[in-house]
Amino acid sequence: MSEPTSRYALDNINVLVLDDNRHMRSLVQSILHSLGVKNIREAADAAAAFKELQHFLADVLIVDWHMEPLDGLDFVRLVRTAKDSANPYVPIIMLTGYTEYGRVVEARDAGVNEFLAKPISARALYQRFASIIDNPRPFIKTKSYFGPDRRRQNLGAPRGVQERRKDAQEGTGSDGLSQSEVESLLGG
Amino acid sequence: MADVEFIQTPNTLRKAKIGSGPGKLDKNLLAEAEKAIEAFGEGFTDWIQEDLDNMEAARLQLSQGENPERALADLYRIALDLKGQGTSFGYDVVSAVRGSLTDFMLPIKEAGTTLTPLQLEVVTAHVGAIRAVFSEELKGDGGATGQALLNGLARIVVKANAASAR
Repeated sequence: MSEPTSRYALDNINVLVLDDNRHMRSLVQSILHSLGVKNIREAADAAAAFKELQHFLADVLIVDWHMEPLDGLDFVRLVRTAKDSANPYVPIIMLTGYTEYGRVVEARDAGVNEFLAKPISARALYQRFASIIDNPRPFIKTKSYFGPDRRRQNLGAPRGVQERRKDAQEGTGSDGLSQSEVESLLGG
Repeated sequence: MADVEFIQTPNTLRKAKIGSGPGKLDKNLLAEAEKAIEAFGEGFTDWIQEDLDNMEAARLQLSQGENPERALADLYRIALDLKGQGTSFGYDVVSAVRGSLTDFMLPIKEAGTTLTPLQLEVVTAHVGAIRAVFSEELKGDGGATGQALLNGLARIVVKANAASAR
């Protein structure tokens, strides 16, 4: 007998969007609204977002990577490890044009849950939410890492990743990873 | 204390799922969201203008030697953003131009050196090419014009890099 299917109800979750580009913030907001998300806050820089989190109980953060003065990775580290962080366990989706192997590993090691490559698509964003909802990850604390368990599924590297890793180590090849390769690296 | 501590976090997102078993994406919502992206794209060339103006302002600062480090960082950041924005709305060729520009700029930015006149020429050509892609509405791979732009940019990048290596 097949398992009964369920549906996602995003209308009662709180989402914070952090991007220094107001057009991209608006675009992400429009997509989220269409997917049923009603409670959305936005911030244009990391400091403002961190402050917002002190009183907005976000269930998910969507964070752009390339910002100044603090970039998206700095912000993720802040959320995960700062003493005054409102919720170090909050799921974080990193939104970025960077999908090179080294970048994805860097994001994973900062404590990112999901990685969403630009150009943004509605399906990809929806799927990232589904993944976070369906597969909550335990957190790991070691001397050098605090964040979602990076080894939740030991799927190994998908086809192509080993080769790209070699390229990255040798400084050759600049193509980004595919979404499935990114997911495997993130332990998804 | 153990070297590795596992922490089972509360699943605050349980409220975002109704029913049990595998979740299913709602096709109607997805279609609405795709429409939202499409509608957003209709005003794209207007709102991208602001980024293009900022890019031009940074390029002008570079050419006049005004706070070049800041101007280079600004230009680099705007170029990075263009990748996601351009391809989101069908201007794929912008991604290629931007890739060429950021690859060229990164070592200069990281070295913290001042642009040579030839390097400035390369940056100027890329900024001009990006403007041309949008003003001429060169969507997709940009067709013959887009490819000619990319070939021209590749040539001057090679020339500038060769000159820098001497």
